[in-house]
Amino acid sequence: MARPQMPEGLYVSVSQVKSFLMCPRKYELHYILREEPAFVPVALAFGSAIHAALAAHYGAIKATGELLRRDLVLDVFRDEWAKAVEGPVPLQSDEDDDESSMDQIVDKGVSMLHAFSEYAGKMGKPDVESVEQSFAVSIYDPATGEVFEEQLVGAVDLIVREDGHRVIVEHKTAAKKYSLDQIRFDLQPTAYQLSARAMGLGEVGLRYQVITKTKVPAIQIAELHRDEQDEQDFLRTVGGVLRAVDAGVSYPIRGWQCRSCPYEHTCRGGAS
Amino acid sequence: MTQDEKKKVYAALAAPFPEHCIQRTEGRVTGRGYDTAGIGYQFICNRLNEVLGIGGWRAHRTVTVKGITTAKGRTAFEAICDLTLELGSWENGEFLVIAESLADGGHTSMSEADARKGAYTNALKKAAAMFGCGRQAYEGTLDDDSVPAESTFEQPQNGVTVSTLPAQPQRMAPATAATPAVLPSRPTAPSRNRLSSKQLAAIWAIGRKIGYEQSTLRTHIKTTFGVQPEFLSREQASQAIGALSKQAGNGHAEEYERQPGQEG
Repeated sequence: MARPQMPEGLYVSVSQVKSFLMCPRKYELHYILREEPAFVPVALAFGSAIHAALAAHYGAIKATGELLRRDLVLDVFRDEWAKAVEGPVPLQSDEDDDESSMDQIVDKGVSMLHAFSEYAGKMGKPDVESVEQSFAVSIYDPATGEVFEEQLVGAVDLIVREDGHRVIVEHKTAAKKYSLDQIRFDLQPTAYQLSARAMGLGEVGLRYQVITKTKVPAIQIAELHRDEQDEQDFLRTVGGVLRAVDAGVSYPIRGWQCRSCPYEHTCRGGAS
Repeated sequence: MTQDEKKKVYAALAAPFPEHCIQRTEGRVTGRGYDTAGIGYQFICNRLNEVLGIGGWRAHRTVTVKGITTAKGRTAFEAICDLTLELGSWENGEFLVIAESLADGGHTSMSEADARKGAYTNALKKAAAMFGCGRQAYEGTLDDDSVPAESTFEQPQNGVTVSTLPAQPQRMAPATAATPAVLPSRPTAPSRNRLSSKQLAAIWAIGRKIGYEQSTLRTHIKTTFGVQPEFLSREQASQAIGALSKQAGNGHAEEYERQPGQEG
């Protein structure tokens, strides 16, 4: 399932912020210069296909109140994966990935979705409020109160109601279970919490639903907590990134991330 | 209350309001001849209650009303409200003030009740803004008068439409307050040079008018300035708008050059 189109204005997303924090040069090549990537990382395409399948699963519950047949969920995954494989930009594995063939990757996805279906069957049908809910909200510098021109945009995978409260659920696929640091410090849930409030959804619960790519896939459910300090930190980080971009900061950070960077081919050639 | 606590209170009061709290009026509807945008009165009260708690603030007001005659010879009412907003707490039946602000508000309406109400809400919002609550309305981010005029509003006969009066400077609580309420000064941040949303919208709009596909316009901008349109500097955006306007054969560049808050 394609993510909603971004608005035709100035915006910033958690992905942009994370991209800059990982490597300002990658941010420059991707967003400022819009260089053509040499490839689409397999992990990205794979995660998108799993997301599409899960969106179909929860979308059916919202629309009909019934679970979508498992074979149809798997079809959504296979279709999305096929689209990625046949897309204009070739897929490429991270060097850290095993040398899985495309068929093996499909098998892995099917195995993960089976594990998810088992879990979902045990949990019963959730009260689905929305699937792939996009948002665009104003953000400000916590130090000065300045409202940024850029709106914070994104899309929430799933919002469910539990005991009268809304819970934002984010699907993740990962090589292994999320670490405590990932659970504690990831920026994305903080952005969701802020955005939910700005959208009038009030205080929400936050949850990661991680499906691991391990030999025997596992489902990790992580309930997250973000407090006011986390929100201030997030806004300070976003503001810092925006100002750094304004100032032309675009130095490269060489390291492990270069191995799977789709812009490596153009990175060392100076500004395009 | 410690200085740190005051800073937190100020930050909480001064946090921007979400879009649904902003009320906008159109000059052609209100008869004022200019558009307005401001924070809704109840949202200001909500913020005060949420941050300070019930009983954590109070307002004293004096409203004066006089009858006026409109241009069409009808009777209208012009109300002025002198208001004092106090922050503090109730102790043994007494309200202990830690900070106060003074503001005047005005409103004209065909109905005396509405004139009184409008003047009061106007003054309260201005007084609250002195503590940071809803300050965006007075900083240029929004316009300063959000109270929609009644549909029956008509221009006063003297031709002067006064909806707000200059506010008094904030003064601090008397020395009897437990702690002087000194609001923290706002730290300065480096000014930003990225183009504004309006400039970007203008680039797309003029580009469409000329017949550019978005991808073609992107390529054109990148070739000319070396970056995607979203990452132009303000100066570069001005140049791009000027060049595109010239190409479009109109002289509309200036209307896109106004900065936020200059919309009038």
